[in-house]
Amino acid sequence: MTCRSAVRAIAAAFALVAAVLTMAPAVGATYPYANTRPESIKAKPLSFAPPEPYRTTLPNGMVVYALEDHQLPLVEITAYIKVGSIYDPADKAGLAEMTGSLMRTGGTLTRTGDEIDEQLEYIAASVEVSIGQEYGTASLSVLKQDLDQGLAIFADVLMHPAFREDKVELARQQILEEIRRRNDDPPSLADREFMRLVYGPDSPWARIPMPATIKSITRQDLLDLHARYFVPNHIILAASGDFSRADLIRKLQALFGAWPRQSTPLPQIPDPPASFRPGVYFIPKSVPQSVVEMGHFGIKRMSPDQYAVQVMDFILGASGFTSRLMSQVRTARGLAYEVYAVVSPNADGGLFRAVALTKASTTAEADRLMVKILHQMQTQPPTDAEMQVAKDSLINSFVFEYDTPEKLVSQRALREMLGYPPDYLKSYPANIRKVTKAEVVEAARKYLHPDRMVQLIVGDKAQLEGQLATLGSVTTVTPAPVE
Amino acid sequence: MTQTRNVGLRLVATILLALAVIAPSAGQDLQGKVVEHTLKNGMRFLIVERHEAPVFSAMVAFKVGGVDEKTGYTGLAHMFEHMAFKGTQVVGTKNYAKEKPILDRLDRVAVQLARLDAENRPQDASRRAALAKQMEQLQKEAEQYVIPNQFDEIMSVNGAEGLNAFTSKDITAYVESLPSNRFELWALLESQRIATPVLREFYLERSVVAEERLERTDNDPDGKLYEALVTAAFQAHPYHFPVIGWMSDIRSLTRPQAEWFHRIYYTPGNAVCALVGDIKPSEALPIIDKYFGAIPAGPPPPPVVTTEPAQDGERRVQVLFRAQPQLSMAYHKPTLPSDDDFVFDVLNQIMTGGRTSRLYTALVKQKRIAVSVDSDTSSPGARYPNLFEISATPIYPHTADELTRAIDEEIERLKTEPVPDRELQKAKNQLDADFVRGLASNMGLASQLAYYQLVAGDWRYLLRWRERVRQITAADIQRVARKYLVPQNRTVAVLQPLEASPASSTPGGAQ
Repeated sequence: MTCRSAVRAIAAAFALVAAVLTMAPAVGATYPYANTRPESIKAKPLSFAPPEPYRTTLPNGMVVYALEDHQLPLVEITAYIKVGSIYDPADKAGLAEMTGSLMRTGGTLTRTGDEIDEQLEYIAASVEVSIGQEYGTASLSVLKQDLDQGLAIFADVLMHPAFREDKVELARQQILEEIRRRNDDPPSLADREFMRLVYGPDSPWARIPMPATIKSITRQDLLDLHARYFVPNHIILAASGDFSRADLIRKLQALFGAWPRQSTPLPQIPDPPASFRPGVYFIPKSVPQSVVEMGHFGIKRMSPDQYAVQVMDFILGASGFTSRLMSQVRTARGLAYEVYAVVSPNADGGLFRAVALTKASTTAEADRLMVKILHQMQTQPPTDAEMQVAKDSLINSFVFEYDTPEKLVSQRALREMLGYPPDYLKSYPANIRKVTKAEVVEAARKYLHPDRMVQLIVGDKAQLEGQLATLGSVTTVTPAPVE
Repeated sequence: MTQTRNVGLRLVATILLALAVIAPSAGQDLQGKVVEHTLKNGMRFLIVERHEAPVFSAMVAFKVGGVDEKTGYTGLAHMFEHMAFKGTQVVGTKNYAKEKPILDRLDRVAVQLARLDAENRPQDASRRAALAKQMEQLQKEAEQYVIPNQFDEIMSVNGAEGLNAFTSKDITAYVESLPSNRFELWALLESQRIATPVLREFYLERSVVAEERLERTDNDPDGKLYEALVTAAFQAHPYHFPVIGWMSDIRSLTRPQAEWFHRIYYTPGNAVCALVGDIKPSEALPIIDKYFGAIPAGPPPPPVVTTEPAQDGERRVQVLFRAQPQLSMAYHKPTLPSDDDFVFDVLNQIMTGGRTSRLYTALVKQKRIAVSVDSDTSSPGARYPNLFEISATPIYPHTADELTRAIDEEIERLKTEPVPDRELQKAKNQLDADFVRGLASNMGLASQLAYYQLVAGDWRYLLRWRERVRQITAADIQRVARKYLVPQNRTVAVLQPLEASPASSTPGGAQ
């Protein structure tokens, strides 16, 4: 070990710097604002009416948001599609994800995947497709001068993917390798297994691809998924950039106009299980730092309580350094670098999770402290200062949700896809402002259940066994197979 | 997430360089739009007006990073970055006059203890225990005056977005975006923490940084392999040291060391601030002069004198870890503004830029032996001669050796066959467009201006770079490949799975 005291470090390590040091003026001695308090500076009021994006619906039902932005010679388009991994059949888990990736790489009826790669990369454009749990996205980024060519490929990929066999096999190999590696990163291992413990491994919301399900997916499955879900009336498109709006709409109509509307209702997703088995769960992994993850079901996206829950979550752990979790677990005790809590609402209820990464020797200590902080959210009402900080922060930073045309159209399109009311963005500040202290406590009581949580710990067995026993009866979990 | 205070031991160079070219019109636009202003104390400001929304992004960056450290205090630049969020004489404290003497006493104990810990003699055991207890007591005393995270809180209530900082080998940067009516507040907060930071809660923060090291390096296969590669490739030059610091160094850093570091390196002449957004220079400059102009000047920091001797044989490093195998290799090369460095940017694009790049095509699409392959021409930094790094992830059951051979074949081809015109043009088109995209966000532009001003000495390097990249020929690429991409100039690091045994204890320093 090469530790030195500060004095020796300077003198021994380099005399040169020591010499400089003696000449350096004491910075701060003459800086006249050392005692100026930040609150002495008052901000002038800010008024900002963001441009209203143009919204239209093509005759086949495709919705288009468009906003011109002539700052740079670029066009950005994102299509939001009503498709998702929650609709995957149980024995084909991974189908939606694989479809998204292969729409882009597997070629179209008239172009091979390799031809598309070459055409796009020569013009430095990108087209990407990806499908998540509840929706998919297809994006185009292209220089203005190549807009027609970029749009043509983008439309072709959306409407006519061919899923050529050789690329299907390539993608399958890649996904199998990703599965083989998925437990290498402790935090993502913890996230995945936590979700499976709360929902149960067979829930559409927690199902993950397995080697067997990936091997069972056929080209026909991909074609069927595309035919069923990729229909124009289930797509909302957000376009921003250096184009003329009328011209762009004409181009979109020309490209997508013949794509027929279809009335295919989305499958019903079963409700999440009414309950799960709370307790302490353990996954052994020989790493020096443990992951501690705790929580349960969350809140539905459109719940009237959503604003109170946001303020509560901000105070608890979603706000970075001003949160209770951060200030107590990280700042005051040095137990973690990363610690947070997050309520992630979705259509069915979503999840609430509180997470910390801490060295093996302080695992139980961190766990206990986090549980205590969750309890305190229910018993100790937020202070006036906490309420003020939470509301001001959420409201004053809200402008960054729509400070560029690209964000503005994407936000609007995505919110519409997820079923938010059209005035959601406009009314957001007022809705946050209205939240009361009592509502925050009420939200904590209704949506936090520190006595009935899944507490999952990933870490080194030899160092943790004794500690975990102090947290309760421990169930050891075997992670989902990787091969 | 703002909690990631250190976004990038390696991100800066890769992201910024990936963005580093300009389309003709965009480049010319930039030339006329950057307002330059240098204060009497040497601090330089670069301002670009954009009034689309009432917000601005700011990056204050210092030319100091891991490369300015020595054995024994590795991690100090990054530690200071954390401490810059702890407040000043008025932010983060209930009573600085009462707090200060306690912090000073705490330092004296900490320095003694760090020394005894290092010497680790049995006869000091009880003395060390007593000092540790004293430290704990003093920390408690100091704590009563602290308002935790008040700097963050003030920024947050004023609407800050993306409040963060990062330390790389080359620079340390502080970033945030704010509503534009908060400009003067920003100027006070940033100038105050540059001029008069108070490094309170220092010894607790060592534990936080130790956790950060565990998370980024000791728990993470990518982090482990990268650290092993760079420490092996650089044996003399301080690019050798991990930016996060060695665990033993992190645990023994002291506040007097950090204060010394601040006096030497956080001088206004060693800083650049880039501002992009809803800012009128006529209104902003007087505010900048008032607050930042009041920071006293200091002498230039000491240079890094050590250079890396030429490598005289291939180095091979193995890392055993509980993860699937990975490969990383690196060749020494010159850095900017060397002409060969420009050539490497095009070469890099040809090798791994996209799905039609040579290595992706060979390893992923055709041979199907890798899931991914990537490369970087400015690893681990750009202030000093650096590395061309190639990394790849094999598909089971293929091995790192097979990947190495496949990569070698493509490197050979670069040396023996001129790159066809269309392929060369494609690489240039991509570099151009990437740069334009990098200008799109306020923060993207601010970070490029500040970065190149510090590392290349002039932000206009961006413009020159683009001009030069357009002229690069197939012969340039062939010449550079032949000169640098030779086995005796490279280090190959391989991560191999370590089978878990039930009673195994963990390597890597967490105790």
